[in-house]
Amino acid sequence: MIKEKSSIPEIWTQKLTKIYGRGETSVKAVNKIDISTEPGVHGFLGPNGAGKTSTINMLIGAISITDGKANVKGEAAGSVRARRIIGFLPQDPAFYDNMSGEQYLNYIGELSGLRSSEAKKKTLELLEKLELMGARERRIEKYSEGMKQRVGIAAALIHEPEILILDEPTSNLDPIGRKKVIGDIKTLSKEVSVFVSSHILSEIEQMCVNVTMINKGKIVLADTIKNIKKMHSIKGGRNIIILDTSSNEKVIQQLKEKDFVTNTWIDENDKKIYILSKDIEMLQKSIPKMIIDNNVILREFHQPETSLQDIFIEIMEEEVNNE
Amino acid sequence: MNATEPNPVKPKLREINPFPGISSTPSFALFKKTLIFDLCTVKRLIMSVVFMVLVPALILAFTPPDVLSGDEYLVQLLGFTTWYYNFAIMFPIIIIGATGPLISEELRSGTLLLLVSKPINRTRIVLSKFIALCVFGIVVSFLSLSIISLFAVMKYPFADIGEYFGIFILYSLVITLFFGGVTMGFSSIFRRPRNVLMLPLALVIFSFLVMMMFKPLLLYGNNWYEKYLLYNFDIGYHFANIFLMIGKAFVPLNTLLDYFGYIFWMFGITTIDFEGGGTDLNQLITMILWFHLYI
Repeated sequence: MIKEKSSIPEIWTQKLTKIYGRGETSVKAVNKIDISTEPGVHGFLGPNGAGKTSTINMLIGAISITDGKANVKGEAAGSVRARRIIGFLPQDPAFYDNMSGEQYLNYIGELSGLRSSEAKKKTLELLEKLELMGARERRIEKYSEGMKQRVGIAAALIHEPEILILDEPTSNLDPIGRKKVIGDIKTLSKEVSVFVSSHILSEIEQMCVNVTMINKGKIVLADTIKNIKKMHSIKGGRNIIILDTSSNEKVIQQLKEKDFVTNTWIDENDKKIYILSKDIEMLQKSIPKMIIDNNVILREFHQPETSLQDIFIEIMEEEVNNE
Repeated sequence: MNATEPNPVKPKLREINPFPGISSTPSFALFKKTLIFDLCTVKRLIMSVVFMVLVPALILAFTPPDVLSGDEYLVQLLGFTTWYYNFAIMFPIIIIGATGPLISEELRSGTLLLLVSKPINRTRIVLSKFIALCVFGIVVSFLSLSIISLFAVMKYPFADIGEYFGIFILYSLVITLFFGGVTMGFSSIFRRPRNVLMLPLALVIFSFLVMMMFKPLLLYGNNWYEKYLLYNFDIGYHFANIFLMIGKAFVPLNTLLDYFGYIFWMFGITTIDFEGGGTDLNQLITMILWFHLYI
């Protein structure tokens, strides 16, 4: 069941600030950030040390807010009511090694406010859903990293939270484990809103529609991934076209003569023509004519999509240049 | 959506547990987990009871039957070993050892982050763990005293030490409250169990061993112990006082003095201000001040 759009933001912050320490040695980890998220999966991006974990810790009430406001579904972040509607998976989930998966989930269920019988019922449901039923009586210390991560997700979900906050959920996993967890998050997002932080942008791109980018405690970008890519393309960051024909040498000579072509070359690896243009529309219109005039076979002609990672790196570089 | 829009009106929330009883509160879940998985593990219980029973059992086993002529001597013998060895040294060490990792281990392993993200406030986290610790203390003292009493009754059928059972159980609770509280305070500050345990253990060694050695020098001669009110800083003295206060509620004062007189003398009570009551309250207040100081 897909959640209905509500007028209340899932997560809302206003000038949220976190300063560690006092005086000259103080560090401003989060600097007056404004966030507003809608139902669905919201990505929270940033390099290591950007302030993602500090923001999340303020949202779950683990650390105090230095200044500003933060609400979770309209409830003050850190309040007992807010913590009831949050399911949280830390960056490095820690477990009680002397407990089995089933005992741990029962305990977390009761700790989250469920009755003992409810916790037992939900534990079995989640163990089944996350394919951990066979290992339920095994001690958690004997679980693989992937299994531990799934137990962590189950622990975050056991009390049926309205918002799931995941801090770098795939950071400790191998590629197969990552794929599995990303799949799980996508499935979960149909039932519960997810706020997921990561510095692995390709994963965020697979999961999220909306993202907020943070660097050095400040928000540098907040929009839908689609809009970010569109805006970035208009800004003129990457007007590249890749072309492959039966006679690339012949075509590239003609391309070099065109005014709107800024630069063109044949890549050493894939032997295709890369064309950088200041007028991408003109280039797109002229290429078919060029193919016909030269009587060559067209094998490939496309404009590569800019990845979120490329945009992110460029934004970070801009930030450095501006300093 | 504009991030700086005014804070929206709070909706009415779905209640997870509209009629929470004690058995379904997060605090109870934490209490249960601490007691079963952290404190009352089979290994810890067996080790604790063995250490508690060891010396009294050895004394009982190797004391020739003709040394004891009646209940009084047996109680005196067991009273001393039980009070001094068990409840002044071994029991505080067991309690400190059990309390040390309660919070520091959660801090070190990172499980505390998950705990504070749950709908339970920090005071309840500490209280739930502390109550579990008190139950553990009572379980250990009950099991140890039961075994010691059983040994005694098996060897000396005339022994009647049952009435001291309650005194020791209550007294063990006081020790748990004090040393458990002090250790839990350090457990919330330090991550490494070694750092947590160091100061409370030093306190036990100083109060019940070092002070015992120097006390005769302080008590006699110029009597600096009394003159400069040094007893106010002596934890052992306060504990002996509390034991006396609890004891008086169960058995007549003279009987108590007969059986435990040596302890009261050792800790300066009978030599300083013991006049059959009247000063107990002062000692209790000093003790509470000590407790607050540590917290």
